[in-house]
Amino acid sequence: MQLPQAESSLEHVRQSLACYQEELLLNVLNRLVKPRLLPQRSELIERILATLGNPPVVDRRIRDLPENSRVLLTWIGLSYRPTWKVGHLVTASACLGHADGLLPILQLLETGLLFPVISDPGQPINNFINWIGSAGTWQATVFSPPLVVERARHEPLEIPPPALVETSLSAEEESLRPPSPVLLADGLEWPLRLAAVWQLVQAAPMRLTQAKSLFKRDLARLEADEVLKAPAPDQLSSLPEIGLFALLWAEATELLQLNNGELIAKPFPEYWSDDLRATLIQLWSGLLAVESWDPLRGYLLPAVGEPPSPFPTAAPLIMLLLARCPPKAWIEPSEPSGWLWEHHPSWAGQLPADAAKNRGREWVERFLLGIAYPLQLLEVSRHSSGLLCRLSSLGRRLFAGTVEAAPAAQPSYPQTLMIQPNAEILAYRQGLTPALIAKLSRFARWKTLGPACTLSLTAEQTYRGLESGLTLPGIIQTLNQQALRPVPASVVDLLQRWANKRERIRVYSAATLVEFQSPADLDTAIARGIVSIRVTDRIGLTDDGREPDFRQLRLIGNRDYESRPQQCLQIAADGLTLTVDPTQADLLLEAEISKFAEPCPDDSPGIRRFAISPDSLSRGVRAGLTLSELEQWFDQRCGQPVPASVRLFLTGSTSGTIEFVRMFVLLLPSPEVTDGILQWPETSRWLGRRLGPCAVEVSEANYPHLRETLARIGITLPNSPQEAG
Amino acid sequence: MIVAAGDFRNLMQLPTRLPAKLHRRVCLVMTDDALLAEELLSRKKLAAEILGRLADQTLLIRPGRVDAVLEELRKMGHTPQVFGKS
Repeated sequence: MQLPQAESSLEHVRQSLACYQEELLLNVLNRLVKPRLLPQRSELIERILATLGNPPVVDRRIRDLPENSRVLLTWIGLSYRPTWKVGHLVTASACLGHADGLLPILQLLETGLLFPVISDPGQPINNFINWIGSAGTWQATVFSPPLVVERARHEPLEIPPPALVETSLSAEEESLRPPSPVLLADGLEWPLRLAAVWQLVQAAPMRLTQAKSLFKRDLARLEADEVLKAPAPDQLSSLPEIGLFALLWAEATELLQLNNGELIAKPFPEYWSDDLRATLIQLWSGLLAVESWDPLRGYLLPAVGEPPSPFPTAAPLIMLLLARCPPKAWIEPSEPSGWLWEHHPSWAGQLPADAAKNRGREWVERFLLGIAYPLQLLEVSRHSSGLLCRLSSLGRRLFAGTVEAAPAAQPSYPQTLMIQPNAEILAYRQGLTPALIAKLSRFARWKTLGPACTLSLTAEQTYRGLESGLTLPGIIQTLNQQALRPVPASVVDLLQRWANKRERIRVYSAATLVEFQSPADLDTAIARGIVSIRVTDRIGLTDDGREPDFRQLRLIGNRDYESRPQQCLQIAADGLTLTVDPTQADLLLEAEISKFAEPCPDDSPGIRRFAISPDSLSRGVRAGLTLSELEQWFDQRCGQPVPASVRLFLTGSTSGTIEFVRMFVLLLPSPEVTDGILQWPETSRWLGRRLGPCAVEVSEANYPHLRETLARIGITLPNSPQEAG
Repeated sequence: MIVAAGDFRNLMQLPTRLPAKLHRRVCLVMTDDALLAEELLSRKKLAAEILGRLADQTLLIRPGRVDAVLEELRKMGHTPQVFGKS
C-alpha cells in the first residue's frame, strides 16, 4: 500500500474523495467548507481541496473540533507522521485521556481533517464505520493533509503532568550541579546504518515468507553483517537485533520496497539531499511505522488478529513527555516509563515479565539512549547517579514547539574523504552529510562505521553505482571534490578498468531492432542518426535500445516479440521444404529453424527456403528437440501439423516391424462380383485387402481354398496363380 | 494542385523515409567481441536461454528470460550493462 507523503497528499486526498459516495462527500463538504450555496457536483472535491489549503479556515475547523478529536489531531501533528493505522490512533487517544474508541477518528474523518488511505479505488465509501469495519482497525489507515497537521501541531496538548516533571531537577537545581559535558550526537549514526542495510539489500534482495517474516538465512545475514552489528562509537545503550531494526526502518523510510514478496533497494529518496536535520525528521517519521520490533524484545511478528508492537505510539508519547519538562531540566532516561505504565493501554501488557517488574524502565531507556539520542533529539549528561537526558534544540523544536534561534553555523568540511591507493576510502564524520552518505553508498561499500568510517571501492559496488545511473566521470568527480587529496592514479585506473569491463557485455531486455531493406539503407540510417549500432548488415539499434525516430522511417512491418510467434512459413508438397514469408518472418525464425533444417543453397534473391533432411532433423533431435516441441513449432509457424514425411524421419525407426510378403492380385470381372466375394463369408475369409473396385489381394497359401470355394458357385480359377500369370 | 507525399518531401528538401521493419521488445546480449559471445554460448545454463546468434557478437535471448541470463552472467563474473530494465 502506498502511503501518502507530504508533497503529494493533496493528490491522495483527491483519490480518497473520489471514493466517497455523494451523500458522504456532501456531509464532509458541509462540515469543512460550510458553503453558503451548494456548489455543483463537479466542484465538490475542488472546494474541499481548496479549503484544505486555506490556513485560517483550517485553524477555525480545528478549534471547532470536540476536545477528544482536537487532542488526537494535535498528537498526529506532533508525531510528525501524517499517516496512521486506526488502531494506533485509538491507542494514542486513550493515552491522552480520551478512551472514546473510534469516536474522535470518525469525527475527524467526517470533518474532512482526516482521510482514508485507499487500497482499492473501485470500492466506494458510503460510511466511515463500515469502511473501518471492513478493513479492520489494524489495517485501515488514515492520513491528515500537510496543512492540517502543520496547523494542528501548534494547538495546546494537555498531557496530564507526569511524575517525571515532579521528580526531575529544576533549572535552579541544575545550576548547582557540577558542570559536566553535554553530549549531543552528530546525527549520522542512523543515516549511516540505514545506508549500510540499503547496500546489503541492494547486493541481494531479502525474500519474505507468506507470513511476511524474514527467512532464517536473511536474518542470519543481518545479524552477521560486520557493519550493522558493530556498536556505535558513542553508544550509550545497546539495542537487540539492530540489523533487523535498521532493515525495518529502511523499509518504513522508503529506502527499501516490498516487491513480489521480496525487499529490494529503491533509489535514495529526495529528502536525503536535504540538510541533516530535515533528513532526521523524515527518519523519525518513518521510525513510527516500525511495528515488528521493540527495544527489549527485538524482532517480533504479531500473530494474526493480535495488535502490533506499541512502539509506534509509545515513542512519540515519550518525546512529548520530555517536552513537558522545563527546557534546561535533566531527567533520568527511564523516568517516562511510569507515565506510560499508567496511561498506555497496551504497552505494559506487552513488556517481558522481568521488564514489567520495574515498569519497563529499561524499554524507555533503550529507546531514548539507543534511538532518540543518535537522532539528535536528546542531549545527555553524565552524572554520579548515571546518565541524565533532556530534549536537544531539535527535540524541543519538534515536540515542544520552541522556535529556536538559527542553529550556529556549523563548520563545513567538504574535503572529508581520504582515498588510499588500495581503493579504500576513509570518511571523516565531521564532513559527512546525508547527501554524501547516499552518494557514496551507491558506488563504495561501507566497511566500518566509527569516528572515521571506512569504505572500499569494489568492482561489484562500482558496477551497481554505474547501473544506478552514475557515470565514471561523475564518480571520480565526487571523489575529487570531497577528498583531501586528488584520487590516486591507481584508483582511477581501477575504476576505469571496472567500468570498461561493464562495457564488454550489453544486455537489452526489450530492445527495438530496426531492419532495413538493404545494407545501404542501414548506412544511411546510421549517417542520419536514426540508429547508432550496427547489429547485422541490415539491422540497426539505437544506443539505449529504445525506439528510433519514426518520422524518418516508413514502417513496412512490426513485430512484438513478447506476443505469440507469427505464422510465416509455407510447407511445400514434399512436406520438407519450408518457404519463408518475408513480411511475417521475425528474427527468431532463423534461430529456431536452423536447429533442424538447412537453408536451400540455390534460392533466387528475395526467396528464402529451408529444407528438412533426415540428417538435419537428427541433428536437432541430438540437441534435445522432441516431437511435441516440433508439433508446437509447426502449429505456431506454419499453422499446420507436422508433415508426414518429417514425422516419418522422426518416428520411422520406432513405428513397428516391417515385413515383406508375397501376395497375388485377383482381378475380377466387375465391382459387383468383387462386392459379392468380399461379402460372402466363405470367400472373404481367404481374401486380403481390397485394392480397387475390381482388385483384391490373395496370399499364396489361401489361393487353393479360395479356388475350391468359388468352384462351388461355378467360378473357375486356374490351378495356381502362376498359371494365371 | 495535389502534391504526393513523396513529392512534398522532395519539395521541402526533407530526407526520404527509409522503409524498415521494426522488431520490438527483443531480448539481446551484445558482446564486445565474437570470442566473448562464444564463451557465453559454451556456458550450459546460458546456452539454454539463448535462442540463437543474430550476428557474431549478438545473441538472441528467450523472451522473459533476461533476469536468468543476468544472474548467470554475474555468476560468471561479468558486469553487464543493462538497458531497458526498470
